[in-house]
Amino acid sequence: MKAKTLFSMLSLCIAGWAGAAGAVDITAYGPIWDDANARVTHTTYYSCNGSYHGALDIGNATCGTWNMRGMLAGTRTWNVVTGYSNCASTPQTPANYVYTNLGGGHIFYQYHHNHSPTSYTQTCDRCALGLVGATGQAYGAHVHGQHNYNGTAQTAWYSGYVTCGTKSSGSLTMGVVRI
Amino acid sequence: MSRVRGGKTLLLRWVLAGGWLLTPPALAAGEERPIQQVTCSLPAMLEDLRAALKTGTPELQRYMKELIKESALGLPLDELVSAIERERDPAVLEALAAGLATRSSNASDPKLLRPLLLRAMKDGDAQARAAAVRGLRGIHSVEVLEKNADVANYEQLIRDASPEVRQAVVENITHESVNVFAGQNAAVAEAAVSLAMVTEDPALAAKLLREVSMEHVGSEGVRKLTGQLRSESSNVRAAAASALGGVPASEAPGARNSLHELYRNERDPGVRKAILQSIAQLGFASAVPTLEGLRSVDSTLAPEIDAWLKALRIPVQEWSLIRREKERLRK
Repeated sequence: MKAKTLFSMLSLCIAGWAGAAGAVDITAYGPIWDDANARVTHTTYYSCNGSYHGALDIGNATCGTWNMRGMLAGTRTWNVVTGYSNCASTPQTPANYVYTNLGGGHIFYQYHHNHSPTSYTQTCDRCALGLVGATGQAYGAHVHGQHNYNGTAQTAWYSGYVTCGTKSSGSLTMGVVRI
Repeated sequence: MSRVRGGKTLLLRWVLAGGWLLTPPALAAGEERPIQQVTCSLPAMLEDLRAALKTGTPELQRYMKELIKESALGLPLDELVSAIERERDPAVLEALAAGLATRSSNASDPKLLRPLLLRAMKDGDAQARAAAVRGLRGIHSVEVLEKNADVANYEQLIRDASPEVRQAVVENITHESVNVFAGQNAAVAEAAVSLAMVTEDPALAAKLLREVSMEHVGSEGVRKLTGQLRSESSNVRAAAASALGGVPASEAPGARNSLHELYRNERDPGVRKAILQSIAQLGFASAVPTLEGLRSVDSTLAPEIDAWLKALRIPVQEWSLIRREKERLRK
């Protein structure tokens, strides 16, 4: 058995790795724990070949049903800006969103959730922050995950990990945010 | 949750033995070892962790700890709690504790941690108590302990008879400030200041004050910090002076006055250097007249003041760059 195969097997259970010296790597998991249906729909470009998008969209073809969870492993303070709900296929309301300040100019956002009883600012590890929804500039329910560094959207965190159509779940790595 | 094992032999045993580095397993040419999917049961993971801790590489040990921590999200809670209650090996207990802490954080249910907190407070083995405390590292432990105040609190733990437990408390707080809240949490800052007052170990008090961000500390915390400027330990006085340099803008005038007054009465050069740095940090360019006014107090520190004055002239508003420039000038 080759070492590569061995490590591939070991990685089936792995949760996350620390990064290079001086950097901290934070594993980003799927925000919708619907293992059967959640998929990546858009990445750096809409549908992976359209106009610029600069973030990761994940949906499971439902609205107002499944929890949207914080994507980043580890306990974080998720600031929740919320109050609206929308399941229409066109924008109807302002956007709800959540964000966590990772320090050093790094902020991670998740947009479009529908308001739920768990939609409040809290410190937790991948907890439920709302329901998968379509608030804001959304044409269908999904979660938009975006890593900003000094105000600019980063795309490296998911590149090489996922692409359009990739399965998503709470136990699958969608990318790694390096801070 | 599942993972893969090869044949009857536990794959990790082979890894632990370093076999993959030496020779491939005894397989006939072209033959593939059959792969079986098995459940990630807690007993099996604990067995693997014990083996890894005994003979495994640091990387494998870290992997096994992470595996248990993440798997805890899906394990039966009763099984996890039972394992924590009966575990005697501190290293394994710490891994299980981290798993329960992750589970609690994920479920937003701090009460889940009560069995672990009981061990942190009451276990007869100091190493086990310390391991239970370390298991809280990486979560919002200050908030969690406040919500379990009837079971455990850091004020008691930092007075534990064991230095290992006291050290674990301090490292939890400093880790939480940096890695959980990126310095942006008032409760952690207030806790650090309070614990620095409670502990009888000046080194621990100084570490808390130096390494925990005071960006969001409140007025009461600043009052306590200012009180630490009168500590008998010069190490604590210097740390308190450094901490005052990082208080919010609303608290800056009071902090600046306290530091200015202390500088004139202080005799320890290390404390005085910390005061100068904090005055510079609180005022940036507006600190120049104050610093110039302090030059006559202690002529031996005039080069230090000159370095700050030069560093404050560089056209940036970023404290880390100003401090680095000052350090460069003083090399």
